[in-house]
Amino acid sequence: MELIGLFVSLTFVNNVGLSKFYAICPLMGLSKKPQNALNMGLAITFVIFVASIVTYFLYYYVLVPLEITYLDLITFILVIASLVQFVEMFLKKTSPEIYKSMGVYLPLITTNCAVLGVALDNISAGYNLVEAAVAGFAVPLGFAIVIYVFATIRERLDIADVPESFEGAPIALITAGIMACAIMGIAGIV
Amino acid sequence: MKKFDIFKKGLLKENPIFVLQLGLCSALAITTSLTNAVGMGIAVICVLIMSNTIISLLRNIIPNEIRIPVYIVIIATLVKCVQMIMNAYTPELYDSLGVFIPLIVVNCIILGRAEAFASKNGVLDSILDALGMGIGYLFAVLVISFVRQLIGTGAISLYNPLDATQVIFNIELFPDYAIGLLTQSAGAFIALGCILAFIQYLKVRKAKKVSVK
Amino acid sequence: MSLYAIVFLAIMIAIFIGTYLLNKNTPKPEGCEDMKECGACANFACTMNSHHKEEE
Repeated sequence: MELIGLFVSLTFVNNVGLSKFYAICPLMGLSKKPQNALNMGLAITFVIFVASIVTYFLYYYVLVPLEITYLDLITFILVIASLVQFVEMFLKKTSPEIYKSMGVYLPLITTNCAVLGVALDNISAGYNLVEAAVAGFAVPLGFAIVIYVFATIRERLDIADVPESFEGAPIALITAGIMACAIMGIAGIV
Repeated sequence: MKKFDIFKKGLLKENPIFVLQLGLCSALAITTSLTNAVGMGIAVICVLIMSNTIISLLRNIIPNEIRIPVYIVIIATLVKCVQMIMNAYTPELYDSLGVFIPLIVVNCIILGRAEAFASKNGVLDSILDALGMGIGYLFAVLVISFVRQLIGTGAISLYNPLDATQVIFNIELFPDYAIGLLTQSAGAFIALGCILAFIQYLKVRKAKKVSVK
Repeated sequence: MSLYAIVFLAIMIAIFIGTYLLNKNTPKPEGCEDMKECGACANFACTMNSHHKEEE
């Protein structure tokens, strides 16, 4: 039951894009076509899930026993970067089809706040392995939902008559603000 | 004069937040108060100057093939140093900025400047570029946090980032008419959206004036 | 204690640079060579940024 609560809280209430601001860059830039947004969501879900489990093991089974926890940040970023490179290479070799749809977004994920943010949050919140795995799935799921919905809204905004000053980034940010208000409503339920 | 241009371009023409729209994550998250914005701005300036200096010094030694991995390692090390220093000397600021200090590693501004400028230019130019970009970032977060704090709480206050008990100024203007939404996450988006719209308005007006002439 | 840290860090960096080079030297599969570049952010460090295309 607690895990379900954690799942809902991380997916919606503490949504990674709209209330924690971790993944703003792709949210602003990539959300022009719903299909691209969905592909990015899938790519990031996979990377965050694997990264949160790998960093959990490295932190508690290597860094803590050796008393070198001050290396956490550099370890995490290196793990994420290596993972992204490895996944990209793996996709190139095995399935060009998937690479075609998701490959473009993989290099971007290395410098994405969300992946590093989830890894650091898992440690600072003191999650155990199961909780870290749930977080590693719930957070990117929330992101994927938001970026998809946001992309569909922006598709409509393209044909709307927006005041000249608000065209482009400003109206996108205000749309995100209104979506964040909607997310805040869910906070009352959980 | 040319040196001054390198410094100046980060302030307005290529402002990292208002124009390039890089590193929005931290700019939206920590702009709840002026104190946080000052602290974060100074942390970013420190990391940016150090990373640009080191990368510029090492630019002929780093093999071109693996330059991006090397940059990431250098930046992560510097950010960890800054994080530990802040944890030791400014514990209150460290707590209120939280995870956004380590997240400077993935802030696109730092890596972007390393790749686009420091890897090709001399040390002095790189430091000037870092200063310009860093101050541009500080300026942008100050503007956003000023708007958010003023409308969100109806007061403007600044504490000494090194010592949270020392008040530099605290002016209460209209606390009864504050719009609390602005201090929350939704308000951050709306505030930045309106600021960007205002900048766009100025640009459009300027372009129109030029075309009339 | 610091020896462990240095060894651990060296291993991590070696893994990263190794995977980075391996990935860089793996050719893109057919049909993906002229993939549309990603314009999600103005991040120059990303290999998908147009900035890199101009250089090469």
